[in-house]
Amino acid sequence: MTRPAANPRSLYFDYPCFDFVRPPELDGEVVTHEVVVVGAGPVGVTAALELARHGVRVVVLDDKASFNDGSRAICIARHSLEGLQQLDVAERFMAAGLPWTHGTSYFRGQPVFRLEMPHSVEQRFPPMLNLQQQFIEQFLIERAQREALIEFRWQSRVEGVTPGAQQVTLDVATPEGAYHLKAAYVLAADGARSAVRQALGLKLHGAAHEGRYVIVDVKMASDHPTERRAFFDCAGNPGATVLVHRQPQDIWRIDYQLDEHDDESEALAEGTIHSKVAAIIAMLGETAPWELEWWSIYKAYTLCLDDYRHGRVLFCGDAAHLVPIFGVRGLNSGFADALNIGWKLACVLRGEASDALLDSYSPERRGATLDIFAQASKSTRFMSPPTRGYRLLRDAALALSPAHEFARRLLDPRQSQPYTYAGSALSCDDDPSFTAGPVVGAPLPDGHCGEQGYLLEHLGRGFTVLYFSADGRAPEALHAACAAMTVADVPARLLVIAMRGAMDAQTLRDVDGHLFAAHGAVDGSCYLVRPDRHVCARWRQWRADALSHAYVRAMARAEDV
Amino acid sequence: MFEQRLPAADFELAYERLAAALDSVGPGRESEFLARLALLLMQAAPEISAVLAAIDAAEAALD
Repeated sequence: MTRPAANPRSLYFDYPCFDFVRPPELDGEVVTHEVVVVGAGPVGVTAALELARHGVRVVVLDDKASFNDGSRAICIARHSLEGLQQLDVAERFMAAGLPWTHGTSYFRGQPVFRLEMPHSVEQRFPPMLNLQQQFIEQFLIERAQREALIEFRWQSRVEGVTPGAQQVTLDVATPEGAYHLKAAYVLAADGARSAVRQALGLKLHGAAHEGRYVIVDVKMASDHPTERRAFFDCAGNPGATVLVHRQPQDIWRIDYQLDEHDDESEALAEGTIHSKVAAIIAMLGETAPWELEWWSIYKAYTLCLDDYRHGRVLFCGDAAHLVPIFGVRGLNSGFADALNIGWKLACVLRGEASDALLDSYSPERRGATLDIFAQASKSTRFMSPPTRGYRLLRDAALALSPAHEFARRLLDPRQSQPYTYAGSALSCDDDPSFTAGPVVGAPLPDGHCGEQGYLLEHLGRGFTVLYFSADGRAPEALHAACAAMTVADVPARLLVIAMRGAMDAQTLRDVDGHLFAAHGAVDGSCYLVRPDRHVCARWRQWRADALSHAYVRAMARAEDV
Repeated sequence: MFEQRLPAADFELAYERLAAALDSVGPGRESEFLARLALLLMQAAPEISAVLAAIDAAEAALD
């Protein structure tokens, strides 16, 4: 990193300075907090918001006095936006961000592949939205500052972690001295160099990949549309790869691969970067004046902890896993971590589920990480071939792709997709009579409901029971079952998908039957959806006993799991 | 345009295996290796038209 991290400056963004506020612990008060989140980055604050949504009081610690500097993670996937809308922040992301649906890959100057990501009227959000991480952090933190249950403690550095049977004690260093902070649970969202992870002596395991990229933000006026552009063996970076993304505020992200022999410090010198970027901008055909905004260097890793849970300490985001940027999975998988652990912690803290529910976090989210590793490793080997053999085949695929579909598939950047918690201990066996719809473990997809908006905006705060009804009526026993299925004291929301009958807050009209079709449903079909909108059970014909059983299982209650 | 015969996962597996084989034989013997591989795959091809089309496509992609 070359632009100053301690005092970030920017051509377009004013970094705030958050004051240190003296906490009561420094004056001798002893409090055990419900949850302490370490790290006020996007994953940590998302976790705090999700916890607060379920009524949990949270302290968020961060050693900085401002946001992370630089644009960093800029691509937010649709499935993340669908999760963030439950936190009441997605609209602000949409208003500020740049949506995109396609991309173009070039080989030696010629277009060879057109990426088209599925998008339809059924979806409220675009497949991808470009937004700099400063804005992501700003919007999340400003939203969190409106939550009475969330307390930020800036300029507070974790220097020690003492796990205990009933609580965790953190040693916190501040400008006014050190103190002990106690919490029932700690969420470590403190990034790739996690102080919590280091304090516990835990190591990430995995692999480092070939190829280093300099990541540069440039301020430049251009009317080129928002898309992902990938240039292989191009005039702007002969023999190597360049990626270009548009960001809001006339900022352009240019990632260029370094030669294996390039010296890192020389490569990061401002003059070197200026020359390199000038060549790439000339290749793009841009003629407007431009300025360097921010830069960094990147190397691809597939590293993760062996277990994301260590007693009362749970790891999420980069503190738990490092994934390659190709496919934009880093922050997006961090958001999913936060949404996965939030409701589980709330249920445990409210006594609605035992501590065993937290044991599901690592298998589900580490499973997602390993799936990412498989996909991202292939993407990384394509973007930065590690050997001559890979390079020969990659270039052959690029050369054949204009005329051959089979080769084009290799160019697909395998963009971030939501993970299906197949085989999760919280899920029931799928009903084999379904021939369509999201399988058990998959996230519920969105659907357009005419004047009633979109399906996902109607989900409940806790569990949601989707009941498909021809006439809009639902069995009385279903209402009773929903009342008993609570998350942080909030009963399950019954949402009736009706072919006909009255529309109201609980009933979505599916006049043309597309929601029925999308879910493979018939009159009487039912889905049980978790607070993080993953399906944990479904039945072509619902049964009261099966629904109750599924809820008990989804809460990891001892009598059933 | 070639009809997709191998499932995507199998194709990716073969891609990885071939990359490793190319690295194994080394730069000096890549052409020799690829020529032998081509002959073997020709023999596995279902019909002559597929082989001739592949030769034409590979030539065209060199332009």
